[in-house]
Amino acid sequence: MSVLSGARPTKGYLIDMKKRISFVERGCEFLKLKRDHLAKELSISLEVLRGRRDRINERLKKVYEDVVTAYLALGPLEVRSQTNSIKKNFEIDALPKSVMGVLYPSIRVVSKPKIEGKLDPVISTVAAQMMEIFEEIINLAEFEARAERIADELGKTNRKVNALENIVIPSYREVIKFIEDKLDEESLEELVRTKLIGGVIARRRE
Amino acid sequence: MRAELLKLETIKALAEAKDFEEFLKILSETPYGEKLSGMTPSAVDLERIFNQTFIKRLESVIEGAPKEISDFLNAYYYMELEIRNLKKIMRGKFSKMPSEWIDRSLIPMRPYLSIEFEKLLAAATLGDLVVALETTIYAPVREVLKICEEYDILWPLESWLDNIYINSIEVPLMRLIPEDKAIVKEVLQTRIDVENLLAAYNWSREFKGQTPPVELFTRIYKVSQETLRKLSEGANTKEVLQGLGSPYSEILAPLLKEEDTALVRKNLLTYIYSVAERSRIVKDFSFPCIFSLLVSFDIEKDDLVSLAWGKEQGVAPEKIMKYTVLPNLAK
Repeated sequence: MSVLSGARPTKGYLIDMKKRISFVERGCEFLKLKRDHLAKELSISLEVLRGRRDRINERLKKVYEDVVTAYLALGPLEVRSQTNSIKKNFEIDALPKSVMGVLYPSIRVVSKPKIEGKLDPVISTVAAQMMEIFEEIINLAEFEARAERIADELGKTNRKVNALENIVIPSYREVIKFIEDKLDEESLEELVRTKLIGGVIARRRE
Repeated sequence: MRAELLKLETIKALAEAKDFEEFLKILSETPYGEKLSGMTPSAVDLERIFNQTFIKRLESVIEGAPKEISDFLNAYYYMELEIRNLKKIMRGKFSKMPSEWIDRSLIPMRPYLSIEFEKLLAAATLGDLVVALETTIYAPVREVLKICEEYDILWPLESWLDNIYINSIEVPLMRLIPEDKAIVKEVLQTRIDVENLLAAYNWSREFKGQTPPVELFTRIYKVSQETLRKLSEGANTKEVLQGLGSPYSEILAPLLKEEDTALVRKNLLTYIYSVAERSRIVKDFSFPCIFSLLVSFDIEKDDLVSLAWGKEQGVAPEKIMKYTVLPNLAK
């Protein structure tokens, strides 16, 4: 269906269309600002994430080596028994945060198990390292979720901007041009008609 | 009974087995083989089998030993195992583990001092557990229960149990002849000193700069309270260890190189093994002979537990050998 199919070539409709296009153009400008801001936020998140997963993997490898050492030194039953002296009270809070209306989970560690002074020296270092990595993994997950959601919203915003810039606004312009042309044509016809009538009246007077 | 010990070459072969399957195959050709027939055990199952075998061997050695020696060995080994089980129950109750889970981690043994493990396992809380110990030799632990509950910690109870252990073995130890007493003292004092040093070292890393409570150290022997305090307050580890001299500086050397506490434990066991073997060379009968045999059984058990777990997890042989004693002694 043509964009012109519903267009009424009247001055009132033209004024309405002009109002609409200025509103859409302003909306498009806002969306562009949102897009730029989201792109900036995304690049910040990516900067933070760059190489972080690899670093955590490296640290996990090292901690795993230490866990193996603890098991070799103490035996599996003793290691399991030692870990029982730690109360399992690791609690996190996931609250929603927003960047330009994009919600992402912000994770806060509410309470973590106390390991100081509770374990055999062979396990205590591993446990402390593991706890640090655990917090880093939570932090990484938060940034990854943030980046993922921002990227998703950025894609949507980009599509909206493109649709407005390339489809909606040009089609409105086309409608406006169509109405203006029609109105020009009508006013020219009116002028010609007036002139002709004016000529006929003048000839009769003569 | 010494013939029951695995040959060092066999232990080395077990350590070098390419996988868990090969490990089980080699193990099935040893005296442990009859216990493995018809089953595909996990490393944890094997740990139980090694523990059971050790206890069985311990019982038969103690049965055949003269009264003074058997009294001492009973206290030295059985009570230690019983305390290990008690600690496991306490840890389980502390973190509110189901009783069946705790039960599965216990060393399968008869109680040494008329303790009923079932009754202790049935205790609902740590407080109930301490009450259940009221009629036993472990009753004094009630004195530190309040501190444990107040600060939500468990180590004072464990430390108290270690204290009771040391006190309890002193009486039968006194009945041994001076030469035998000297062997035990060398082993026991080195063991406790090294554990104290490890505890102090660990404290310095966890509570930087803070002075530890005296209860942290079970008993003070050759390593003074002052040295332990310095180490736990973060003094230069190298300087402290160098000032200790032999055998501590050698045993604790891995702390300086790679901060490896597991390797310190391995060095300690190697040292205990060498002391026991040395005393057996001097006198290959009576207490030194029996003691070195039990030390060997004990270390063999610990090594086999490590080897089984390492092989099940696919750990490299070099790494397994780094933390075990006997495979490294094979020619």
